[in-house]
Amino acid sequence: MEARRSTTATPEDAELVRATLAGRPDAFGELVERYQRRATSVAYRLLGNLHDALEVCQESFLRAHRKLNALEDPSRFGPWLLRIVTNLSLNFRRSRGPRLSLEDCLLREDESREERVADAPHSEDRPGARLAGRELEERIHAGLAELPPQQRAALVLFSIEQLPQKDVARILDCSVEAVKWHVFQGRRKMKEFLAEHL
Amino acid sequence: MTREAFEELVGAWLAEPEREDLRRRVEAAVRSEPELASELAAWQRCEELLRCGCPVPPEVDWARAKARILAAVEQDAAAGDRALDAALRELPPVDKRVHWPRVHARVMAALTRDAVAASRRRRYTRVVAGAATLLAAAAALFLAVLPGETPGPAADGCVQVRLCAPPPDVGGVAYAHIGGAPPPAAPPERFFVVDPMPKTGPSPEAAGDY
Repeated sequence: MEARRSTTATPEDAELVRATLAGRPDAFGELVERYQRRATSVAYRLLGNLHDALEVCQESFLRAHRKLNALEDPSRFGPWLLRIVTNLSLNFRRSRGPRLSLEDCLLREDESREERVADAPHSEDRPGARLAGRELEERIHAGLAELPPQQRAALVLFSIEQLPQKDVARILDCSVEAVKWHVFQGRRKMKEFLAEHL
Repeated sequence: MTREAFEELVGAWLAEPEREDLRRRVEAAVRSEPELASELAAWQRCEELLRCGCPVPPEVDWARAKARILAAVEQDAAAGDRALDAALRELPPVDKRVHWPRVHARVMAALTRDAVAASRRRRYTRVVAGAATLLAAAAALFLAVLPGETPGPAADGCVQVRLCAPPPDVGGVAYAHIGGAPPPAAPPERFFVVDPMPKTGPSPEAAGDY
């Protein structure tokens, strides 16, 4: 298994946060550049819908910008942002407001083919990659949607996004032991749900 | 090992794959119960599918998404400023919330009190200064006219003349005023007569300091 990706910040995150608070307009743009893919990815896996995920991603950055001066440790911007993303995603279905139109953020088919090549997160030689067809993808999303919110979030953040358990615990505002328990229960249910594909 | 116990063990190992002790325990369980191998494989495959099976669709224009986010952030900040300005403008003007005649009366009363206090302070200062002057003068006078004292140096404006070896019927002290006011409690006056000098010159009996 590859090493866990961490959201612990490089020193630059703290500098960018301070620069944003000091009024530098490009500093927050750099933070968006750094975290928008991960934020969209987490939201997408929690919601199963790309439009919803982009909407949650945008709203998360808006809220982060509004509350940036409340962030106690600027170096923890990443986990803090993902916490906002997770909470917004889990509450998304409950609080439906006017939908944003984000069609212009989607590439045309010919453009997306290039992206697939340039930005493929999963190479062909990974085990299980050949099974990742559309149908399987939908099945996985359906299984995740069946999970209770905390288990879904724990599984997405830990197993899929590969965040350290401590970060997941902070994001979900629970103990590391609780994270282990949620992940375990979530895996167990997903294993039963995907039995025919395993 | 029960199925539930094995599931927990595999779950713990998948959560901390770097832990060699957990890996050894899983392998030992599979060696002792080979049917658990398929269970382990299913767990591992599920983990792989979760990580690889639902990638974020590549049809996202990230540059445009970033531009949209930053535009939204800027609009949000501007909207916040506009909302604050509007709220500040909504505040009722101050002059409509003040009872001006009452304010005027309060101010005039305060000015009057202040003037009275200043006048009192000036009077007090004059009284104190006057009292101090009187006290100083009284002290000076007291010192000047102390009774029964051995005559000392004359007070201001007076000259003391002492007759040395005076004749028995002539007093020993006389005061002569040179300008100034006479001392208020002058000692009893004594007179003496200075006879013209005899032609023969002063006699030894009458010699003395004048």
